[in-house]
Amino acid sequence: MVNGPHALFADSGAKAWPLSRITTPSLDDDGSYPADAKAPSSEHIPSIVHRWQQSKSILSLVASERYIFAGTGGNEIQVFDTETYQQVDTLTGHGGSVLCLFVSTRKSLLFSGASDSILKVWDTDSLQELYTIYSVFDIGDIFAVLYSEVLETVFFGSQNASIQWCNMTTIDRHTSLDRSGLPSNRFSKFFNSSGPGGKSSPVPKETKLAVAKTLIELPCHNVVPYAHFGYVYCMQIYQPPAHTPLGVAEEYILSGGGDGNVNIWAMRNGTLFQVRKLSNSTSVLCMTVMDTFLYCGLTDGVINIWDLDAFQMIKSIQAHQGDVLSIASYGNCLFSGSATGYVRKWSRDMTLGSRWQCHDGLILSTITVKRANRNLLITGGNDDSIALWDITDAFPCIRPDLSFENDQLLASLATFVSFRTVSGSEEYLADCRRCATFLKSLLKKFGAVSHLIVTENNRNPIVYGRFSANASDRTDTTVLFYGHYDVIDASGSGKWDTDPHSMSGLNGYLYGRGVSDNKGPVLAAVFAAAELFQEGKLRTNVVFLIEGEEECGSQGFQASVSAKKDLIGPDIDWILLSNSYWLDDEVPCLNYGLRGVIHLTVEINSDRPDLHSGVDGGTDREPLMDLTKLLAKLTDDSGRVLVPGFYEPVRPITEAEERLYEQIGENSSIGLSKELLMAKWRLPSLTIHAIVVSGPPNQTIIPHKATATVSLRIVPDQDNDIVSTALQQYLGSQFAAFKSPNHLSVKLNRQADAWLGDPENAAFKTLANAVKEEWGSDPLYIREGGTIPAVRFLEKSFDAPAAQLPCGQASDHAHLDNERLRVVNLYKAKNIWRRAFDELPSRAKKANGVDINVH
Amino acid sequence: MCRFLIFKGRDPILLAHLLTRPEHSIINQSYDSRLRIDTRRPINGDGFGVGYYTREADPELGDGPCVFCATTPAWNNMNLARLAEKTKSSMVFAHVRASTAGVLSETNCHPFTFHSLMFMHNGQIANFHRIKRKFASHMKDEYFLFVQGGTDSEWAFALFLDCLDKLGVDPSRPAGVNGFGHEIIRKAMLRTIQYIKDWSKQCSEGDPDDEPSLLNFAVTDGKSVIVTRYITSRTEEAASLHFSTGSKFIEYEPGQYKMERRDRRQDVILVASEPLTFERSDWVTVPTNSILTINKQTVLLHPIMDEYYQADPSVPRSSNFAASRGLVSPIVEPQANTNVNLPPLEREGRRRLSITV
Repeated sequence: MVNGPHALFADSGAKAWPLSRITTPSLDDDGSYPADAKAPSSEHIPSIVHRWQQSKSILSLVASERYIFAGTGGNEIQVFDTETYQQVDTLTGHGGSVLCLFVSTRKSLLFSGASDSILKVWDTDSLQELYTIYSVFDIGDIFAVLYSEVLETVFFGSQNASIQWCNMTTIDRHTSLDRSGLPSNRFSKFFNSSGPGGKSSPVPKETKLAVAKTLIELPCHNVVPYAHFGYVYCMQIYQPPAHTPLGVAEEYILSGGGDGNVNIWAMRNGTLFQVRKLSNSTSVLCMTVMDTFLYCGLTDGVINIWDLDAFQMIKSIQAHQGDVLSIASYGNCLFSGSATGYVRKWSRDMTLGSRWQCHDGLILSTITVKRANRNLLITGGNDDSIALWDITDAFPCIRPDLSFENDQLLASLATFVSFRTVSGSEEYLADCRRCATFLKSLLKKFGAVSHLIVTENNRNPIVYGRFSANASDRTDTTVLFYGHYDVIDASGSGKWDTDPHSMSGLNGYLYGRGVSDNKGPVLAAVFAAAELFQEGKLRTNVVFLIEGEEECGSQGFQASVSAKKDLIGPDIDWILLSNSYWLDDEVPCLNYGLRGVIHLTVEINSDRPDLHSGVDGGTDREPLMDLTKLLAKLTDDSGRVLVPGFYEPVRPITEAEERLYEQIGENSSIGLSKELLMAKWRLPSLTIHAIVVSGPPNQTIIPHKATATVSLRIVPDQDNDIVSTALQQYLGSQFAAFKSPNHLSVKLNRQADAWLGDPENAAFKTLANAVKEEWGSDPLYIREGGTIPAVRFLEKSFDAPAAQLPCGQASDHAHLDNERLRVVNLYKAKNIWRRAFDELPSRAKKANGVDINVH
Repeated sequence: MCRFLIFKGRDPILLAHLLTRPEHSIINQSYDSRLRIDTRRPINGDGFGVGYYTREADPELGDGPCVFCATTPAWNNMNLARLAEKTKSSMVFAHVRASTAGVLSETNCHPFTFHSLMFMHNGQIANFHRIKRKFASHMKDEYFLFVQGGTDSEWAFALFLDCLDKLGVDPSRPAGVNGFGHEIIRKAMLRTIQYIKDWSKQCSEGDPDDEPSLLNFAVTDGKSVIVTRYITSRTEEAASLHFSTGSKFIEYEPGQYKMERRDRRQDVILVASEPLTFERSDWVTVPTNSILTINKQTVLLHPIMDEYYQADPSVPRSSNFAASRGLVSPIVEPQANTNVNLPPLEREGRRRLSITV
């Protein structure tokens, strides 16, 4: 048992720590408990909310109300939006790793200190640089920075053991444009010297220092030279309660250093005075204050607790195996991040709550952030990533029961995605059922009338839900939102970077099977309706039909919906759906057309069994030979379909339609020609998918049977039945001409109508306005070459026109590995549906120009 | 008039990354030394020495370092180049020498060793001949007998060993897993400086030719490192000393190195008379009259607070003396000014528009 906990425990007990002071047993490794210490019974490991993967290590973190700022080893400050998880900006200007950050919420200022010996001040709203502050001394790396709102002064601690400060109220008096005093520019005996023979020093590649107009050279007396006898690693503000020895409400500055000391400073007459010194055994790498208690994270994994009332160390525990590199507090809890990559959650008296691995490497920074109804722990590591953890459950009273915040949308989507709802597979039947029940319950919880509609042959049920208009100015408009909860199987390929059935957030995207097709878009619409309903502002009736067989050709859907037509409603004005993607990753779109499809199998067989070509070759007409000849008759040499009359019904293009294609072409980010788009969207096509033969797959067999699977994508105004009949007749007559003894059979598997909406109708106009409001640009009107069988069927059944809002981007990888959906797209889709449900007018049935679909 | 270099790492480093490959490696410093102008002796060509501790604790190897030194110029030594390419260590001392005292001899090459300990000096003890007898009579026989060569530096090491001994640490015993402890070594070093300072004062009372001693010492027991930057003067600057810390010392182009800082730890610590790279933000000047300690992978900086200490870091020191001994560059001086009322950069002539990018 070389690596057993006891062996290592004995080893760590041999450290310089007096055992009497170790109140918690030392732990063998941050990932497990020692054999004699039980895991806490109530252990709750926070769930990961999102992760951003960067290319450089994350050295420092800080949050304003809107943003999270991350200082990196790549000399940059990355800015992320806490709501949408998008990276909104990159602040450049430092010439070295950004080691520390501090935000003044009252003043909207961000302070950043870096290994280039420069302190920069930024505006947290405009994200512009305000000041570049530098010292006249050779201070090395700036490890710690803090701003005192009371003193209106920024303090920073450095590698040369000094603390310096700058009063922000008088800063404008010291600004200059003279860059010659900057640490990188000022004369240096070494770096500006020339060697023997006058050969000057090589100049390293120029680091681009975006120098602000306002340079501040710190007065040379604003310094405590040996504030510590080591690097000044961390700083904290402490405002003692009135009763404590430190006395009246004055702000103190605490600094922790490599010498193991925490020094307490007071600002008097413009100078820092040391009030107190608290000595720890090893370097103080991080600290946090809770009430009158100071928690210090040290090298070697120790956390010391000091009572600032009595200046006494009250506890010292072996908290981690590696250095305690970061520490943060929230509520009654303390979170410590260590060099082992683990975070441990503690109560204020240092009882271990839970521990979990956050990073694959050192955890360099840990902060806690409070948002509207959620508390986040944010960690940054030298695995170049930033992770957001939901620590709300540590404080159960804070989470409201019913919420439509975007966080709740993400949480529900995570549950939705966790069901493996692969349709057409026995294996996942139970998952599909549970998912349908989940959706039904969700709709009910939000106030909808909801139940499941069973389908024939025990296929997956359809989830029905209806939110009835409840606004004082409600209309009699009713919209039907169609979507599906089933997905394409994600197992097998093994090329997912994450677990496809456990939604994960990375770099502003959500990854998981179904997030984009179609679970995310469905939930966006459900939440939009639910929000309006809960606020008493729902002006239209919103009916949801969420089926579970879409990926299998919507089997059973038509029959079940037809049977329940009365329930679903005779009063449907519009059919809405959100089951497609943008043309690229930039421009929002509306979708007004889908092609139909005819799937068929063509089979030729002989009356004889499989034969050996060496024995029987040349004696018979071979079925596979017949089949390939027959398939060859389907198209001419240029690929044009030869079925008589096939192209005749295809609707000629109108000027208005042509204009829509031109608009796409004018959008330079989409490099698709009009001809290509028309071939994909508005012209029919024929595909031979596969040919399978009977018998073993070796090169001497003459198969007695050969089967081809063929499909046709059809467009308005081709009629399914006419096309399939023509095709069968054409194949029959061609085959008859072969005068072959073999037999032909053509089997029609399934077919679906094409759909063409009217981009000029009220639904599209409403959606277009909503898209413009949300995205700030007009949508492109696009079609798609694929098929959604239910659309045209629903239009016909309810005599209502359909409109489609694509939710995700072209790079969503629907049906493929690493399917994803951008968080912003999800939130915007919800907002667009909110607007649409609010604004969609009722429809004068049969009015001119509305029922535009022609047969 | 020498140059030294100290490396301490969480992981071992190939000696070539310190000694031979960097464009401004200590080997190259031996003929291209930037921080001095000495027309009499343009090069540090009087030998060199490299001392390093072996990686694994091995009873057969013992506690002490391996030292390789030669009296030939460092850049001419093939064996050094070969060894540097095939040797790794996490605790390295290196020294190039231009002799100020003592003849050219291997016994005069730094680093000097005594059992677990290793010692280097950059500078000189003023008028050493006057106080050499005080050294000899002060110390125990074993340290008096330890001195092999003729340099002031070796005598200083013997004195340090004697101070350590008198503080209750037998320097001939193995340093062990935790070493002797950085506090006690620092204390012995401060006492060593104290003695040299006191004796020099006694022997130079009223001497108009008195000059300060330049005492940049480095000592290690293989675990902790103590380095001083010290001068027995309130107005002169000590011999140059710089340090650099980070997570990795990387070669980003052939011959061009820089310190990478991917976290806040000090996995790599370099202390050197002259910066090893031309990345100026990598290097921090050790303040004059202070003592730098490396304890595990942490750098500590203590001031040496005696009669030569200046509490205000903006009080100017002249580099004339150190420059005259080739221990810092004097080229800044023509523009320098000792007016205390001028801001430091102006006073030191460091704000030069001509060099502004």
